[in-house]
Amino acid sequence: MHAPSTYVASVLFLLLMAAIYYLLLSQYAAEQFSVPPTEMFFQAFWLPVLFMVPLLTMRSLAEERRLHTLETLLSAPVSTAEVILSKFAASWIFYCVLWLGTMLFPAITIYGTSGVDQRLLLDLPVLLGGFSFVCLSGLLFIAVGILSSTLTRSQLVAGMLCFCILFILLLGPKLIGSQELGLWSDWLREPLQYFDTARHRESFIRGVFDTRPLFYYITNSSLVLAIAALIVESKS
Amino acid sequence: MSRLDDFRYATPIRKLNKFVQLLLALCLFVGINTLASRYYWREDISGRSVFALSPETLAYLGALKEHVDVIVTIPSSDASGEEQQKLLRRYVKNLLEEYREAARRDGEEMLSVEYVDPYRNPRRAEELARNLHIDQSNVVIFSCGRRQRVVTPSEIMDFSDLEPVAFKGEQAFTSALLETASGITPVVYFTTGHGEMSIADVTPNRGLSVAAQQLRARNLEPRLLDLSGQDVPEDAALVVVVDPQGQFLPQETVRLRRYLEERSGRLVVLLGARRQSGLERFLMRWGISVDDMIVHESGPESLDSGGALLVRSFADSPVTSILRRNNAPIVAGQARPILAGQMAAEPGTRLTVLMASSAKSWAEIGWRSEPEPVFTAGKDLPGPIPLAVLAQTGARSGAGIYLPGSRVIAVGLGDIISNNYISSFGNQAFFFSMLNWMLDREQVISIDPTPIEKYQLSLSRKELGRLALLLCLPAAAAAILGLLSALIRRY
Repeated sequence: MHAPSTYVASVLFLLLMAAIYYLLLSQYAAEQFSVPPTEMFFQAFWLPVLFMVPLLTMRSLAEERRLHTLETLLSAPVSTAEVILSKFAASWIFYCVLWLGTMLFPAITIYGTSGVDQRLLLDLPVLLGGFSFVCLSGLLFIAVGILSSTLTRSQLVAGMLCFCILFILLLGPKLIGSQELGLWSDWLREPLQYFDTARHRESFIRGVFDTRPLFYYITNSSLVLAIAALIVESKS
Repeated sequence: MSRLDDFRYATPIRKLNKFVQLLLALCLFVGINTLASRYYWREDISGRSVFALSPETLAYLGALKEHVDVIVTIPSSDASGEEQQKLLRRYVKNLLEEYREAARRDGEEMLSVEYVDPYRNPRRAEELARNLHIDQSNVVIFSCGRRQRVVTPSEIMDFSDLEPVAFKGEQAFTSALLETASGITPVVYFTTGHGEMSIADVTPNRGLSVAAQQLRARNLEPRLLDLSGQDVPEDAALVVVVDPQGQFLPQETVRLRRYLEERSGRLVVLLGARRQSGLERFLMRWGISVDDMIVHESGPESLDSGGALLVRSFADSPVTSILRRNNAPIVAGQARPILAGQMAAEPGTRLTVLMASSAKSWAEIGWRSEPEPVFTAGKDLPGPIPLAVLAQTGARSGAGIYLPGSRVIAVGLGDIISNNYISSFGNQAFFFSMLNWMLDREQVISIDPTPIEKYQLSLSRKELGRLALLLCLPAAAAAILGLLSALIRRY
């Protein structure tokens, strides 16, 4: 995590989020909306996820395999699962820290302006709900990044693969649900709702505690990491 | 050495082992997720949600005996009013989500919600039109068995100057749920035998086929009633008389009177101009006068391009409040005055004028003899002219409880629910608001509407400029940390 690319990635992420937040503020200054600005900010969470998660995770194992350092690492008294888990934990914590940085935006806006309704920007239940969702869903997204990185020696391929899987995870249920599914619609309705990330985000932001997203993200990330460990073991 | 340790067998066995591990992990994942999606705990811990259901609704949902299908035909986007459409869809979606969750029992869905965008899913929309006879977009349909109830946007949201101001979805949805799940379909009788407009007629001017279809969509059953040979049936929830061309016989009015007085009946009379219906004397008992006059409008704001009348002046009553809030006119071909309080009504009758023509209008008395409509002072009636009157009886019991009696609404616009005019928003809103009030449908459940909040930030250009720099501070801090880290590593 001390690599220069980590800092470059974090600077780019924070700049992108600052730009999104700034655009949001200028829109709210120009016209009225029926959704509070803090809620609207979290609605755009998929955009940084699609770009940041591949950037954060694509190096983790692909680079080790390319430089043939994975074998050296595994010769140490650690198991494959421990290696995978530590790579995953490092990326996930960094991802959460980056998002934590964006939580400063409302405070900065209040500090830098006068006459802005503080309750609109520092809406604590929404901020907490949104941040909890980002951390929870991050478990699965980062796990997907780690898995992609185990599949290939090329960082670029790992990044692209991760991007594609995340795209399907984030937008797939919504896109499929909006299609004419004919006889499948009844059968698919419930699974699609269960996998729908936007639905989970809405629940968290509205302060609704639901055990389903918890199970979904925790079990799925565990499964993805287990597969990643199996792949590393079989290739080493 | 065992055969399993043999190099030739060890590799495929190890691969098989991995494959079995993977398969088992997948089975575990599918099993856990299936169970998790069926048996879960969900709680609103915010305590401030707009969409949290009232205990009354939760009790009704918990007691559902049959499966209820809810179909939402609000498009996901609409060029004509995108923001409003989005807002309506978002509110409806969030609220129905709560209904769906609350109606679950032992992992089984008692209420399912389907979203059909008529523009994106034309095939499904056609199927709905064929099976449920629903071809309207922007509505929410509750369907249970063969009963269905359509909830329109005006029932879900209150509008002021076409802007949504309050959300009353829970009241509308719970009422619709009760109506469909209760198994009772109120019967609305349309009188026949006097040249009235007919629910079986599909012609634009004299047909009520569209109105009949819309009644069925609201879980109301329209039927024909010939009073010449029978009393008003026992199952009548309401009797409607629409623009009779001939006169009611005395024995028929007696039957209507018995229905109203002895069974606390409900009657709606829509009367066109230039005809005597034979109900004039009957209505006098209720303090309603129907004179043989024609209302003429002179102002351009009260006439549409085709010469039809536009009625814009409404009383603040439960029946017409929707028209006042939305500033929506009623369109009609012709009008006649319906006056209140000219005659002594039965004791205990309360009269309310529901709507009137404009101040520039007048009621022509000698329309039969005068070829051109001209206002004659002292002879004709100057505007505004009352066009609809509501009469109701009721009494307060010894315990102070109000006991509702019979209700009569007489409207001097005979063709407002004809196939020609029923599609107008004002006409439809008035007709169904009138029916709901007559059938006490709006009192099925009473839940306060939630105000729709609008959010805007007061930021000047200068402040926005400063914010553009300030918001870069976290990124700048990360960049400085990165530089420091690089310097430390180098030296």
